[in-house]
Amino acid sequence: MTAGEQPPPSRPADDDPRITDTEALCRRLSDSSPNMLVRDEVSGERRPSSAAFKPDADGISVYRLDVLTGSGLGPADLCTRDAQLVVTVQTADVRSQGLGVRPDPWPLDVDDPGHPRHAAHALIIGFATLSRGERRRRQQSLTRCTSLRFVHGLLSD
Amino acid sequence: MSLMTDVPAFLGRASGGARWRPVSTPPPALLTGRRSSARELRLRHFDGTGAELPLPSWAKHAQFELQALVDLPDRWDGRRAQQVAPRAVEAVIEVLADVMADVTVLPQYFPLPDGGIQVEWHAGEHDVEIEFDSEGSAHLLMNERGHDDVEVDVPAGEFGRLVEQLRPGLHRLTRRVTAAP
Repeated sequence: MTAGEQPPPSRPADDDPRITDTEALCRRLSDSSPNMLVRDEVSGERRPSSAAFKPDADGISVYRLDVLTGSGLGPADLCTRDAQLVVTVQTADVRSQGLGVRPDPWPLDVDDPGHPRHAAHALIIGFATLSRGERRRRQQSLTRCTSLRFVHGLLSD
Repeated sequence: MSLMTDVPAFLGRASGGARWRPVSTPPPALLTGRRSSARELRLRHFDGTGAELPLPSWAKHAQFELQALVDLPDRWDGRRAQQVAPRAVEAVIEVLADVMADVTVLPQYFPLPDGGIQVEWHAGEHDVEIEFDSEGSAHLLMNERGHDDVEVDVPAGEFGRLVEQLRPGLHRLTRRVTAAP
């Protein structure tokens, strides 16, 4: 690290290093009922609203793409109805915000707890100690990170 | 269940309140919302004498968009999301009534899993986002090239400081949009 360079933000204690920085994390959202995509009035660009990355008490629900594909599944298998989209962000971008990722397989508070996709369930963590403004800035950063990709749905790359 | 306080109380805040000015002059224009059924949102527009006026175009848009959010069921995200809270809707209307004009760029509305609402405007390098929680508190983040970032956090019903920052920012954002090729 050179003089003047900022050290990387520290990760939450329960960040799991077994989830590598290059691993892609899938986040399901929708473009109707509700629409979670914002539109830029000047550029016309559409991207997820930061509202789509507001954490619950335990974090942001995501699915590990590597675990999905290892089970013979893909981003499309995260969707439970039409008009749902799937975006991915790289774990490195999450950690660069001082957040972390931990596995959370087989959550019970979902509509279909027995579906095989839930083996890949994980949580983006690290929001609990943040102020409201800090939390919201992290949400905004997640929607603008360079690794964000649409992998299923209307705006798939 | 009514969404807004009764008109006399609202009149008091708009015309004599120390914190913020009415949007249009004269006379002061007021907005109130009332639910005629359990889930129907209906906005109504009154002048300072209590006479009803036609809804401004931005309020018609808000009514349509907010109705869609009010109609979302519990667990709309397939997990823990709660229905949008009436206090969040009230807070949104109260803030927008004080900053929106017919020419202002229309906002976009998003539900939050805890029953809140997020209201946003995006125009190039100018972003405005307001998070309203289920109790009606509001948190503004505004990022604009050439200006300092703005952050304002206010409790429910005390939106004066937020409106003071938001109004000029929306004015500049609207100019940016109308000037764009």
